[in-house]
Amino acid sequence: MDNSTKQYDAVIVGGGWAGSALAYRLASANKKVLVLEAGIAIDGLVTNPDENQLITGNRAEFMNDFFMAMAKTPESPYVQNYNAPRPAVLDIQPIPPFTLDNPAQLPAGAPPPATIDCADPKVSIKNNGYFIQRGPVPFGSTYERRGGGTSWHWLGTSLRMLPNDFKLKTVYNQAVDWPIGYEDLSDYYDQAEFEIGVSADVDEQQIHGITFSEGYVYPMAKIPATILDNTMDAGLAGQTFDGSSLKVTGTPAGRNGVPNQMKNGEFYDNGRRQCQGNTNCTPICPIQAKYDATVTMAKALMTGNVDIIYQAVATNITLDMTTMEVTGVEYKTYETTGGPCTGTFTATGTKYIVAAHAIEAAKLLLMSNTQIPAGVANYSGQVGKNLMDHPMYLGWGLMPKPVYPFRGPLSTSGIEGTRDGAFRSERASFRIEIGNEGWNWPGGAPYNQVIDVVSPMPPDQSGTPTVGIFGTALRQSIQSNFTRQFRIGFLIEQLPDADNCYIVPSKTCFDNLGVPRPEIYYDFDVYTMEGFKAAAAATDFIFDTLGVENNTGVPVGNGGVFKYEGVKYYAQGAGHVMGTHRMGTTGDDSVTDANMKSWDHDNLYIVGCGSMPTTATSNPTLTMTALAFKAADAILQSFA
Amino acid sequence: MTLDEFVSLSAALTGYPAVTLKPQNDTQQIAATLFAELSLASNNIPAAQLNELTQVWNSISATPPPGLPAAVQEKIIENLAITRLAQNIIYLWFFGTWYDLTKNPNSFTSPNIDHVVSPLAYTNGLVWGEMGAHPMGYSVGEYGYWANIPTLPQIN
Repeated sequence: MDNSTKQYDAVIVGGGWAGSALAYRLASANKKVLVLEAGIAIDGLVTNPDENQLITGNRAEFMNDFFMAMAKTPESPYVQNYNAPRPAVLDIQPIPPFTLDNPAQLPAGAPPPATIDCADPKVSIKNNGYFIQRGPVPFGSTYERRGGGTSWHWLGTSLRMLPNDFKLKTVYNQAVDWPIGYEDLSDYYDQAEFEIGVSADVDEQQIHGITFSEGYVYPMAKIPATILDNTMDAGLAGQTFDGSSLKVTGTPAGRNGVPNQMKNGEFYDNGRRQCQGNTNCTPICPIQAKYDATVTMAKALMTGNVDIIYQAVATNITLDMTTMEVTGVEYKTYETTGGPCTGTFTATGTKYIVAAHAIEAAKLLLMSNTQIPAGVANYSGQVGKNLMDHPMYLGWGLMPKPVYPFRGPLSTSGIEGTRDGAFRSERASFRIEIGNEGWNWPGGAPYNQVIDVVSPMPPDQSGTPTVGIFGTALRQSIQSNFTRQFRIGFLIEQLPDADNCYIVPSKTCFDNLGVPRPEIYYDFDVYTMEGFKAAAAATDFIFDTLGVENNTGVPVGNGGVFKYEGVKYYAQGAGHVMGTHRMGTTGDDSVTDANMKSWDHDNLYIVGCGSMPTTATSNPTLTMTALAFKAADAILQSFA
Repeated sequence: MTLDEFVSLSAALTGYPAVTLKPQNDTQQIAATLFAELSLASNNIPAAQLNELTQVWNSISATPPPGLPAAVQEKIIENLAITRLAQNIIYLWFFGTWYDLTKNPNSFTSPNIDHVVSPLAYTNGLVWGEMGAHPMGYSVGEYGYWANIPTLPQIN
């Protein structure tokens, strides 16, 4: 697999979301592209008890692994790869000395010392997870490192950012503005929605100043609302919280619905199936009705202009110290998920694009080129800094009447009125996602609640048998309880915090290839915690208004616990990892310009959710796609 | 315990008719697959416990239907020596999972031998249909079905 002798127009690090979009765009313009993907091929490796054997599988086999998993986490269909490891939600725990009972009290002082035994990479990753968490709160989000990247388990939500999201400093005197505005991305949003295949209704999405071009239609019509969505819509009609409308609207989704006739008169058709409502977007859509990046990578490969090398982990970006241009990307290869390194090679091209996950991209830049101690593209010192997510607050309860959850896509509607308002001068905004999977996320449904009535937990939490219900009573209990379960999730805005939220390559802990693991420092500021407080209050208000029996308590994933003003909150990761190579208007405080070109190196671009200076409240994937297309245009122009 | 005994006991424990659990034209062989868990050595089922459950069931299985649930309640569910094993039979049918008998199923103490029996055992789990839904990741519905109210199964 040594392609090192071939000269490419562009070398892309990362075969996930941004990398696939960039490869396709550049290859379509007849550029020769090499993609280095750290993980396994698109139809990649299945669970493999012997990590020294390489077994390739397909979506059906991923499904098999999912069916067989006791904990059906986002990672459950995808095997761990010790040569390109990924984090897992089951590893998210309070960071010593903090515990579930005595969590970090925020705002905190210095982070606690973390001692981690990582002498044996496989044992350490297996037992403690991939991240070296330094806290004070654990970073709660995960990602996949394989062909198609994290798109394997994205939810599909494809919301545009709001015009005010681009100018948080100007409008609310918070954090920083983006170097671009909504109007600069509007056309790219159109293109991104076409590439992904988004189902939504234009009229419904014209909120908070979002505008669409004349005659624009989404590729497919809005996904039908669930019974839960309609129940909440009716129950919350005309209601407001903290001055924001609680109107329920359909969520634009990258999953196939009913094709629309596009502006050019043709009906949209991407050749894939309609959503069958498997209620399984995360961790895996069984029928690929939900878009994932492998779709775009397949098109890129079909141009004949793209080579991709899987199992190629980029480890070093080399520079010409006179011109400061990038001269190559060194990468290590391996043959099995637990086997040894099989070689080190260098890929060369005219342009270089780091399109890896926000954490991996920052890690690569920081560990590259030891002639510059700060790392590549890091004159600003901002690489790896400003790590952000949409920390989530979950509220759950029982509706007074059946709403029939566990049917349809995982989420079809949300409350978007709370995403912008004068309150953003004081506290984080949020959007409210309505979940169609009952208490599956917060409560481990249906398992935990059935067990609660069949084998009630004894007071001493022991394995002593207890007497529960069975037969007809059990069936009645399931019908009565599970048909009324629902949850809402608040995606809370987080501001960039260079001093307290950042990643560095570990100096002491490595993966199986000897590549440093990400050491993560993470915290919530008062702005975000006020957002949690408001989310809890909004949950109470919404549940009271709807007559809901409020069951919000300790969620099954409780490792993200923290205390604010004496109250415990349980933050969940959204998987929306942003900010680690932010773009900006000057090289003093940002890593790239608005085209995602490094301020420091003329032929280096860094593209992904890490490019985002602030988080807004929209799930970032659609915006990342728009940014990738914007960068692709700039790269193509730079060849001219 | 024989397969027939397992199916009739399962019907009493789950509240589903035996013919639903083991249809005449049994293409998926779910009952046989779940029954095999009772003889799986790695499940560490104490022989005395399985024998007692079998004997107790055989002693009450001929009880006329109106009185059968009360007999199951008294002789099996409230009998702490065998109730935990009976609960596992419920979980086999509703979830397709086997839980380590030495701990509460909602406890995640490790190591444990909790496991999903097979992909078919998961997708045939009764809990999903009971609530008018489908196993997560295994829908046979058509686009948009979720906008319509489902019919829940009749409980006799």
